Amino acid sequence: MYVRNAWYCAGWDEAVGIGAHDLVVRQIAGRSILLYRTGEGRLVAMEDRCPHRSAPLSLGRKEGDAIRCMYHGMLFGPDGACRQVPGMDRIPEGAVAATLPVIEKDNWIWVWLGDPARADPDLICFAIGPSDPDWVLRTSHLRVDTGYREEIANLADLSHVSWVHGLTFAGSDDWGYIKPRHRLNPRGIETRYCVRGVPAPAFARHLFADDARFDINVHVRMTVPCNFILSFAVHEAEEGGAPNEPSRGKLLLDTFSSQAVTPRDAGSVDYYFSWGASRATDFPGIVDLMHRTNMDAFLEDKRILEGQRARLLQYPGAPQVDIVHDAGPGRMLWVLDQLLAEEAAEAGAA
Amino acid sequence: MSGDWISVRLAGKRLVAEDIAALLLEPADGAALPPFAAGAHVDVELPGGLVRQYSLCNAPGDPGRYELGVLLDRQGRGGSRAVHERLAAGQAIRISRPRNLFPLVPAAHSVLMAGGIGITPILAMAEQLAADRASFELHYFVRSPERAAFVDRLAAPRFADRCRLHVGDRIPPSFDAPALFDAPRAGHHLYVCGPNAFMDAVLDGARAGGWPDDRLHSERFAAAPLPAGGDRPFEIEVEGHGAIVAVAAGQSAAEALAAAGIRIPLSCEQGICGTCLTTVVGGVPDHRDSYLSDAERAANDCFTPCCSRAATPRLVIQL
Repeated sequence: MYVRNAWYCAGWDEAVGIGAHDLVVRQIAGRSILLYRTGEGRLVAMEDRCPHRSAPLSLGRKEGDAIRCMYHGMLFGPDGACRQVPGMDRIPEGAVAATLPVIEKDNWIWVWLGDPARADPDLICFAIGPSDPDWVLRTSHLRVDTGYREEIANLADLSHVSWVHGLTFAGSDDWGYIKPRHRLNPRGIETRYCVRGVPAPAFARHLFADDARFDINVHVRMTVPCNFILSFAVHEAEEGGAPNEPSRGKLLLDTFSSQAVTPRDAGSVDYYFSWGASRATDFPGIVDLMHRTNMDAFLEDKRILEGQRARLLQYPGAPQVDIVHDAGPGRMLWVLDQLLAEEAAEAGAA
Repeated sequence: MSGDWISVRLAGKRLVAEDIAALLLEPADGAALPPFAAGAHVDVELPGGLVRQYSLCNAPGDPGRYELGVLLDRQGRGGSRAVHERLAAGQAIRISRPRNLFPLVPAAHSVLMAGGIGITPILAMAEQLAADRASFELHYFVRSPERAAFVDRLAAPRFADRCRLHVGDRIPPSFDAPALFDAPRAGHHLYVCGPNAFMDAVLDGARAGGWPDDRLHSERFAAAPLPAGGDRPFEIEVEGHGAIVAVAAGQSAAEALAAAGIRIPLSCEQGICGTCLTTVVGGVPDHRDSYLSDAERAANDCFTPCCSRAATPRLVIQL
């Protein structure tokens, strides 16, 4: 089940070039979406299915701003309308490839799966892209064989950092004891807290004295389907601050991560992410180290999520126990389920 | 790193009462175990991959070893069965560093109340208080003499007359110590650990006797069960909405709000996950959840409308 009226990330903009062979297909919410650029560099998002006999248009040929299906040669413009059926004078009715609203923002490509009339660009999630001059960000992507609800639950509860990421992001089990309050937004949740007095994370342990302690100000914004925007600011630990108040210790490293998780189908997601430091707090080598660590850490998530999926399939419907760390996942999945229910009600009324 | 496991050797395992095994843990490599304070527990990694929390019951000053007491729960989820049936002396296991959610606080006098296996953290507290020559009394409630663990230690001279065993008392207890629940004198603190019904009875009795919450300390082994039926109706005012929502007896606050068109995020609907946590700006909630800590309850600024109710005729909430 997917929310239709939402923007779905189709990857980093650099993945779709203007070369003759740059025909990129993304699996998004059970659909196959072809992305290509016209000669002017404008992006086109089109259902990757010829309306004649369902051959993939991505096996076709770019001709100027159009794409020719290489099964029977039908030519489709960037609006999806068929321009030519070789051997036939008139274009048959319905010979239109479905196109989707597509927008590039923050170096991400976003496609709208629902009613084009409701494709409001303001609904695209806030992010900071790698071309932002104030930030030094590195990007990457990963496929994970899990459902996107499980990805939501993973990202909406960072207590797992202590356990899944003990060799990378975590320096102690302190994340496992954070109990944040999650604010509800119309299309997601927002969460702020401070993880206080923690040792350096495993990946940066060697850079600091053993007894150095830090406060980490965390600000998470999640939106449907599964976009996770993280500000993660490392401060010198201050004495006696509360977990729900930001640290006022000296700012050592201001970091930012934009993560978009796009469901491919019921059992896999594409994960597009960045991490890096503000230009003001960047120092040589740190962003490259963060970048490598980020991939290592997300492979740690991939391992646990794919293991979880295997067990979910093996024990369908087995009872699950709730714990205090489920508040974030509970809220985010509730928001998702509200939107799904609204769309189901609309579809039923229509 | 505090998240690391510590390798230990099960140096001894003996039955100290009916269905209660005492485990003696020593460091596997001869290194010292981290010190602990009375009330602390450790995570224990058990055969089959289960991880369970058990309180340390030896004297906190006791160097180089940890002692745990584990009650066999045949209806449980398998942790205590793994301890009783699959752990053998000499075996290597892994534990976490001690963590303490149930610490002693300085007090003029400490009242320690243990029900059943709840004796384990209480015993460590008694050891600490005895070592400190502090004033305390210990009440230990068991269903039968066979189920009383560590009685040899409790009979030791260091505890003199300060420990009392209550055998066969019903739970909730009907023990003849009503003075316990009289208004406490300055500086008195009460600690309770045991089955939920026992703890509820003790805490309710103490509160009724005038004990303020900040002098009551408790640790639960399992989530509190939901009380059934017989709830009083109350009202909820949603700040800024104008409307007053009536919550009937037998109806949850979340249900009443939903019926009034105000949807609250829900997930477990048992007061465990905290998904429905809602801000309270007026009135006093009657907390029925297992999500909020005692300190969070004391702040009186939120409640879980899936199961909690109101102790005042009206609650004012903020969405």
